[in-house]
Amino acid sequence: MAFEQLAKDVPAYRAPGQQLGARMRMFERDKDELRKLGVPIETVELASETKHYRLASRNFYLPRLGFDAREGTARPPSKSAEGNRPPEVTFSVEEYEMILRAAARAQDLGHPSIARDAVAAVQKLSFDLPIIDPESTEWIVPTPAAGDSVILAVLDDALQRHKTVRLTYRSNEHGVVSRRDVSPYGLLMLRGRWFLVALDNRASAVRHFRVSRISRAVVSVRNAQRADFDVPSDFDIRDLSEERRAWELGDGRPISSVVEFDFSDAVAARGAELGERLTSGRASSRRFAVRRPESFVRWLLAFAGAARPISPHAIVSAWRAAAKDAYANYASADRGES
Amino acid sequence: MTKRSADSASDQLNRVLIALAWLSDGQPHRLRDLATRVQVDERRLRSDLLAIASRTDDESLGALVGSRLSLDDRTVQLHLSLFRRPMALSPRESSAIELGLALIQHEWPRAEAAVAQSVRRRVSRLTTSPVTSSSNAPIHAIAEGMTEVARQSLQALRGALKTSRKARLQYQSFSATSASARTVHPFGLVLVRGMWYLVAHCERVRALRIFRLDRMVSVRVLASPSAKRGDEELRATLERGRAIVKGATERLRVRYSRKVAPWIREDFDVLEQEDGSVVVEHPLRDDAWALRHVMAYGPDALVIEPTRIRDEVACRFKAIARPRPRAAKRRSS
Repeated sequence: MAFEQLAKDVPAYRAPGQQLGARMRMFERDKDELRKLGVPIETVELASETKHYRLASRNFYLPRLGFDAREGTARPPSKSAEGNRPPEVTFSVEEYEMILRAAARAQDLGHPSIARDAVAAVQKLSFDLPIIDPESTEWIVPTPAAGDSVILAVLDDALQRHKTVRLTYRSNEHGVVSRRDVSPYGLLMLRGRWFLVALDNRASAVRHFRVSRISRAVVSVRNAQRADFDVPSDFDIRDLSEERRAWELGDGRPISSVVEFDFSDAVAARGAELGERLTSGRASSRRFAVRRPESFVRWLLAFAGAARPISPHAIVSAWRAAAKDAYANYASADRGES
Repeated sequence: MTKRSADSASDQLNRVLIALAWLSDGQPHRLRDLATRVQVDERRLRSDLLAIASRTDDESLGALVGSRLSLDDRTVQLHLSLFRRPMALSPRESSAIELGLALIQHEWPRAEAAVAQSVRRRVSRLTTSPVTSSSNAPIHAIAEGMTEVARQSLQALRGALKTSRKARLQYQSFSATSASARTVHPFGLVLVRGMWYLVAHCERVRALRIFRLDRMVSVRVLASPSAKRGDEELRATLERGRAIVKGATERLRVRYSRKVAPWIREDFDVLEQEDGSVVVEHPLRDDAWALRHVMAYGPDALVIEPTRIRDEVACRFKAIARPRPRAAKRRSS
């Protein structure tokens, strides 16, 4: 169907005195909005130069769902208007329970729009399949969303439209508040916390920004209908799904650091498992690729002396300096200084 | 399972399309039943239906629905040949399920993760094809963090909970140098910030204990039945998003500098100080934990009490800051 045909059926597109350009812009906005909601409106190029649009019913409706025949009648599907027509996609009860559990887990990620999308998905599936209450032996403490939900909504919007964002951010390394102009690539949940993975435009490097440390996020309003940047074709946020420690985040050039562990200390022995064995040298030494030295030093300090950096000099010095400053605090407090 | 926060146009569109699909049989439906189907409260459903029926422009969906909708206090009926099924999952809805499945898949032993993979493939068949390349790219992901041993332990514990049986753990506590055996009555699993904990009655100490999944070396489900849980006890283990066994009488008081105070406020209840620093009182059950927790903050944390922890932390920092020369060590030995 061409726009002209559509416009006849939509009162807003045939308001008297409205220019064709204005009507087309309105149509483009509506089309984008519907596509964003998941309505699969296709643009069809025909021999004529006029663009045509198609909404195929086979792509629009949810396929008919059912349980595998081998599941018998133990859990009959919900009765729907579709009567007894055979299902197009089937699940075992176990698989369907897994989907419901997945939806429940998605709701507890501390991300309001993901939670809403998970609820909406279950609403649709329950047209054909029953809602089964999950086992009550598991509790998920929701990831705190307080203060984050507005920021997450802004970041989602920027991610979907490929718009740059100005962040007000308190960094972990130096604790300073700064403004960063970034091109957002994705949101990563790491150990129960959301991180924005984005190109820091000034540094021209991909960085991880902890969302709870973003106090303000403003999407660029320039050329609102156009993308500000392209995400590199080889970037996939799922590639970052291997868990990493704080000192491994970011894309700065890693420093190689060798640490000696006291294996008689159980916690240190577990920490050593995160490092790489050396091909030569002490068996108790491990090598680490460090992108954030300050985070790494803090991690080493937590072993209370049972993990000692051997190299490079910068890490060893920073480790000793932090301990020296900390000891000075205790000495000064003992002397009654504030 | 249903949770609802701010409403959006897409939420409303979804609800209306699902409601229309249920109504498309032309039969009268009780509003209450339909609201249950759509998983929304009755008032909001009524408001959705009235909103669409009030759009009575020529040839619009509102006109179509409005002329055939019969809605009273309790029942609703609609004769409509369109929208007899809900819309397929939108890419975002599919992505939400995909994230949940990824989380579950990370927790399953690798041999069994194939089931989750197969479900993911089928969910993709329920999804509308994205029209633009930008809507195709996922924007959310979950980092994987469980070892194979932890995955197997979790599966075994889920089995024990499902069949109400005791379990035998080989468990290495935070500061222990080796694992020890514990027979437990599992009460439940708690997920806090990506970490699973087992809440169970431990026969050895005859009390409720919390066991971190990543410290379990192995889990064996026993044939003997487990004791029933007390919900009150379980609730007591969750304190501000943390798994804590109540009853620790001793407190660790720590002052954190202004520099790290913002991060501390994210995780703990704090006492604000005039200079911007904060003080936190932690329940103290394990000196080794206290030592390591405080030392991780270097000069940005200072133990106020108890004195023994304070002295030990100061001593450890001194040893790091002023190492004995190696030559001197050799002479002394």
